[in-house]
Amino acid sequence: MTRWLRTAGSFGLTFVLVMTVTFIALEALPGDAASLRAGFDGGSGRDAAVREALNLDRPWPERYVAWWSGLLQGDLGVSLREDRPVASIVLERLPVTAALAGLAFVFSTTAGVLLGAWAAFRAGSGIDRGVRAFTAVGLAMPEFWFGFLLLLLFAVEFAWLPLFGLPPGGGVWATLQHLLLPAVTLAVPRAARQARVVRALVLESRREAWLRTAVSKGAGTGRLRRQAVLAALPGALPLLALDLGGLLTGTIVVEQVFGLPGLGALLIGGISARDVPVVQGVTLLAVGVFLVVNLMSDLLQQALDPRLRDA
Amino acid sequence: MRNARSLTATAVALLLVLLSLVGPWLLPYDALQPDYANTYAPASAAHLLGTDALGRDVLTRTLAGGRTSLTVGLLATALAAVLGGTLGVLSQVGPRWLDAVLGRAFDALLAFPGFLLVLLVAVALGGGPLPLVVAMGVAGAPSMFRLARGLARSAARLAHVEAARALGARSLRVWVRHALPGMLAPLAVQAGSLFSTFLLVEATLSYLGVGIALPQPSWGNVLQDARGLLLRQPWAAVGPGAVLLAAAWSVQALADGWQERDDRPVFDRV
Amino acid sequence: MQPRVLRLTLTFILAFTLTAWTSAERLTLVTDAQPDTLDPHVTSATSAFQHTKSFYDTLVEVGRDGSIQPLLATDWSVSDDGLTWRFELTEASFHDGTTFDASDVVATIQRLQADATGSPKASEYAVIEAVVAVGERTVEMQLAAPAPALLATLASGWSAILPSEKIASDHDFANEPVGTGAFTLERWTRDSDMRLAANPAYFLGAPNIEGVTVRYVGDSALQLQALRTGEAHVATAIATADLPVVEADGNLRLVREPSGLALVASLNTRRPYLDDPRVRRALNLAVDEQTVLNVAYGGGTPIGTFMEAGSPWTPADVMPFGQDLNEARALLDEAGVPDDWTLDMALPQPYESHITAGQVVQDMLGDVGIDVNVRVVEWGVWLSEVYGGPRDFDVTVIGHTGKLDPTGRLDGYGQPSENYVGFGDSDVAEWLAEGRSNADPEVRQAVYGDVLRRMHAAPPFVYFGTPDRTYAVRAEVDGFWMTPLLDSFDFREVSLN
Repeated sequence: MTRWLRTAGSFGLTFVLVMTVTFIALEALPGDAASLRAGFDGGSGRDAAVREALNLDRPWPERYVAWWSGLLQGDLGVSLREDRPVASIVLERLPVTAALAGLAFVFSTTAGVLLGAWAAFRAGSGIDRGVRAFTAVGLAMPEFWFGFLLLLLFAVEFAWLPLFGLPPGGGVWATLQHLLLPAVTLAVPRAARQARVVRALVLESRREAWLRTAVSKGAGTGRLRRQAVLAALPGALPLLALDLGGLLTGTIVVEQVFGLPGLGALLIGGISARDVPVVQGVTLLAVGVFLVVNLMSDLLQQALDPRLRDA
Repeated sequence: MRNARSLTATAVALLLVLLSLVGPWLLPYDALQPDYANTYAPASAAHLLGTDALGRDVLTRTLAGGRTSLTVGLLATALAAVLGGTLGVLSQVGPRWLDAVLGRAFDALLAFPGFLLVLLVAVALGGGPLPLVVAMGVAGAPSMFRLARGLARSAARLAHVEAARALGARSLRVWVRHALPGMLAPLAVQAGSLFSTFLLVEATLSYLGVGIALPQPSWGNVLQDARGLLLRQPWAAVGPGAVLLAAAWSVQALADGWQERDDRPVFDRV
Repeated sequence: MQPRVLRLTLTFILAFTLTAWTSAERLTLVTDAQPDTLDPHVTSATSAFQHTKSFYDTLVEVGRDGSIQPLLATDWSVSDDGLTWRFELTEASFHDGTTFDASDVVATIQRLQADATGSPKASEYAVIEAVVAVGERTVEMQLAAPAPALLATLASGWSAILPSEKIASDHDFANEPVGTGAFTLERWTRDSDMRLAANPAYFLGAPNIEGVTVRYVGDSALQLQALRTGEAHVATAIATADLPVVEADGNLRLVREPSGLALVASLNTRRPYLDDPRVRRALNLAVDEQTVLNVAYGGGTPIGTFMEAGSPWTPADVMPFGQDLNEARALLDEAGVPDDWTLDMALPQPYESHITAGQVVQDMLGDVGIDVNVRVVEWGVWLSEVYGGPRDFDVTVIGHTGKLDPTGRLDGYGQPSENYVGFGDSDVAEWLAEGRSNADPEVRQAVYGDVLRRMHAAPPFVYFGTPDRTYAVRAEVDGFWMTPLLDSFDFREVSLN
């Protein structure tokens, strides 16, 4: 319990730190939302009036405190670009990113665990070498460039899949098609990383005493393998959590490549529009998910792995 | 097999460094000189990767871009290693409260989604090579810190270090003479891993428009340029990306190679 | 699954979804820029007006030939002293069901003038002293001085008529447009698409199509691909390199017509050497404007002064500078420009064509011995530090949008402090004041001619030209057009065969 409290405490600290860094980073940027809204070719001196209307003429510490007091009351503020509550904007964008991240996570975890385990059981074979080559290349893969290649191949050359964005008409099936390439783009480097870790863990668990005992008692190969993989999985949890938690920021680039209107696009747009409340809102969500997922993986790992419980 | 990989990786890495250094002189084109009569040229014998919107040779720009990208990646790695490594050792040599403060601070940094941190810092500092080095260096420091701290802690318990201390040697001297050499190899492995990641991060940030700005080429902004040519001139995207992939792979493979030879506990880059 | 079977299945899926997208009743247009807001009174972005045109109407509008035509106002008259304008209004209703009448015009003009609105064009309406609803369908504007440009102002996107009730209740027009327009907003997903639905009660008759989907795709190659596969009906950005592809495709029709833009490299005339008109002429002579247009903007027509190509306001004796390196070098020598002169060029991201043009200019100035340091800055930084604030730049590259009357483009260039290039003197200020208030077309033609001649002789810009607006439509699309000078989309007459 104390351990849990300490972890939660340090997560809270991280959270405050992150939001402060984000705020200061945006304040440090030249230009503000007012000059962007006043725009170009539209008469001069207008930005001062807009600045006043948006409260941007107040000193930043005052706005910083106002943001926190708003947050404590459950209010994320109003977008400086869209004149709408940040919470509703973020909630509008969330499904796109959540679907993309979810799909990518399912792909990467399935592929990562299967490939890793497969390679471990055939350690030293051609299959193992192949999987290891895949992980080495996957880890070095520039994500957005891999997206280009998939686009070129499947959306242009073969024209099997749609080129960009989401289907304006909606629909589950059409949306899935639009999300397929981006999800694969996100999944490959992550699958590579997971395969690498799972392979090492399974190799390790095969060496462990209980498994060798089971073998000497004549247990079947299939069951043993399952046991070995199951025993190895808790060890992979931190990585899986890291991947899941990090997917929210990982989508930034991929949304850009495939023109998807998710949180990543909102973040990039928010930064260039100097829309501080929106960037704070997206960061809050990204960091919140990141921290909560990591916390949960911590707890889950303790629950699953007796060795950690003993310690 | 292991040697073959290390050998290949060394060869690829050397080739890339060499090409980035002298390549732009070997090719008859200037990375910045436009050729208006020859825009969007497809790949040919004269232009192996074709030309871009200004008629500039994409291969020349890729090689010149390697110079920027490799330098930025290397400097960022050095910053992360020096910052994280020094503080990691200090946390063990110095007073106990220092360890507590540094540990807490770096834990907090480590819990920050890394890419978001780099993105925000790079944006706040205004983009360009130096801000990128600072942003990536700071974001990479926690992992170096954690590793250096752990290594320093176990080194302090090593027999020959304790013996030297018992014989009355001054503590900093003991560290430099007896503990540090054993720490260098794992730190180098971690640094290699970071370098590989930084190459990808620089490219990604430049692609997003917050990294290295045009007209100075880097792997990232050459690829950003290529996005607009994707359907017309795919080689402009495929070529530089493959070079970047080869660079990131070779550095990572070299780091893996050292690690396996070193046969120390696994410090995975995650 | 066998590869062949897989491929067949996928092809089937694709065919299925394609038919789902291109239902015969909806027009799909792909374009690169999304609006910043849908409140027509507070924006200055062409991309915003391209959309607001479908939701709102103005009293008068620009016809296909560039002349001003009736819209919500069926007829108008001006008193002899030019101080009283009277408009007769048509019968129409707003999307919320309320009837359009004179009070809406009054409320709209008052909203445009109010400080609280913060309209970028408030100054253009300042000349209107009073707006009075004379009857339900008659409105009268009393002016402080004659304003020959008033009709042009009322035809521009800024003058969209909003319902008075909604103005009074401080409605969020930025996200939920309510006008009399031919379309209503169905859904706007920023960074992705906007869906418009036909307004069956439109006063000029309901549109032929059920609706319009506008999708935002920055990449011109992707736009073209979408057009060719039928995913889109109209693509608004066709790159020069792709022209042959479009021309060869029997399913596509290419439209090339002049836009209203004046593309320039702006020179900060407050800076050393740039304050010398000879140096600024030399820079114009060093740059080959046709090459800049071809390489960066997909082709266009060169200009020699601050007015879009083909404008009737440009005097016949003002020609583009052309390229003359020797003359340029001679002028630079004469002005005593040192050999190591280095210019600071700020280019706005994410406008790739301006960044490309800047690099071409950098290269060309190198040929006359001028070094240029290129610095790419974000749009927000450009607005607050180059265009506004400290005006920290020597050279920048930008396009000035088209205006229906020269007042719109030129006002502000009489006073150095009122424009970012620091251009202007008492002569120009006087000419501009005359053009603003003299109703005689011949006098206006003469004074604006003088201004444009001065802007050629002592150029505060390196003039490039007016780019072609090049877009492609699928053969089955009929009746799509873009308004001259304002470059707005007009979907009202579109039909799909």
